[in-house]
Amino acid sequence: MATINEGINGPFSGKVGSVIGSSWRKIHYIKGMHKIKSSKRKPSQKQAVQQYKFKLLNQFFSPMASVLDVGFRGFTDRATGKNVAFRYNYDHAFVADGDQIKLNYPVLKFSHGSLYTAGAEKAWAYGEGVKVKWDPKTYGVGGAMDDVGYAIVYSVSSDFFTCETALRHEGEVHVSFGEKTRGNDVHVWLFFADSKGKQASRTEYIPLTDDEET
Amino acid sequence: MDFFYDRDRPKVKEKSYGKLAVQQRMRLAMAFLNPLRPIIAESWLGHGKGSKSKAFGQALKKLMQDAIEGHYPEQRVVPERVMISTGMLPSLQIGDVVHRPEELEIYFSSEENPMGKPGDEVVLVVYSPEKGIAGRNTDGCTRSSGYITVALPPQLRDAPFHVYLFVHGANKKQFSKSVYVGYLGEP
Repeated sequence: MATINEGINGPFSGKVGSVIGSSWRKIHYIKGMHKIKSSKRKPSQKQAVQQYKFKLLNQFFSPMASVLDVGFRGFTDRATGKNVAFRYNYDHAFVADGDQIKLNYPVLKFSHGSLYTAGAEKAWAYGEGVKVKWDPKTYGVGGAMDDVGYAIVYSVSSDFFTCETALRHEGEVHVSFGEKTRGNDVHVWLFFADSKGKQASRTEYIPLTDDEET
Repeated sequence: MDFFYDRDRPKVKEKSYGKLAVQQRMRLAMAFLNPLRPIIAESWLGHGKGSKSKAFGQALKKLMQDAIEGHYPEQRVVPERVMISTGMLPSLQIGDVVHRPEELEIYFSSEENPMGKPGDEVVLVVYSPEKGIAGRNTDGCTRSSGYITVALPPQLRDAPFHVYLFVHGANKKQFSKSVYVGYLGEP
């Protein structure tokens, strides 16, 4: 598909014969009609691996689209947060486990930016959910008391994503699993976004501990 | 000459040595200074004609000129030569440095100088480029105080960090050149 930058007679939208003009996020497109392929060729092994990786990462990020829009807000002029997250993570997101390809959860990032992370992050099982704690101070540079912290929790066994927010100065947040079971394979990430809607921090992966002290 | 080419397949042309070296210098300088942007926006503002981004650009230029050593591809930033603030105010003389697990205390003195006022505010910055985290004193401290304390961010409590000290006037219009105190917390 070709993109048209203010083409010969400018961008257009709608159908002209078999050509369709449209625009999305200030990108103007000219595209052909959708072709229905009668028989789909079986992908080669390499293609199948690529397709599986695409599917795996896309499915993983899908429930978190609104959070990714916040985390990658500096890069969403011409793409969705999910698109940016996919591109940012794809190269390092997978780990081979025997014949299987799995997601490498600790290295996944839900945000990128120059806002400071909190430091001293901890997460532990608490009731039916997870409690996440961080250092509430700002140390004069790179963060503000009213930055919003996004604690993202994912249970692999339940395939359940949830996210809770709290202000930086609050220093903790409880993420509840509701009616879902937490399971033993829980992953926790934390990032901050400023109140003006401009900046986000890097994502910190927080290993789950048994209790607050460990 | 190719008049038509596939835009998705960029022309592969080997970049010159000079171009690669300058690009690496720029990348190194940017990576070092970017986490300090909020501080530099103030301390270099006089050189940016009131624009924060111009101020940062001037600090970047200074770092690339003075604080990068080595030849491509082994260029590196020399933190001792980095100026996180610049100006005409007289600097301080560093005395004792006390590094505690959660805070850093520095004793300093100031020579008598018609430009240095006792009410000038002192700023202590701790910074780890590897972690991309910095901290500065949040309590006010003046030239006449004699010592300054900064609470260390959790990320710097078990990691080495660079320490810089500088002074600014009460109205934040005049600054001193930053003094490099040292690299602390090395195992």
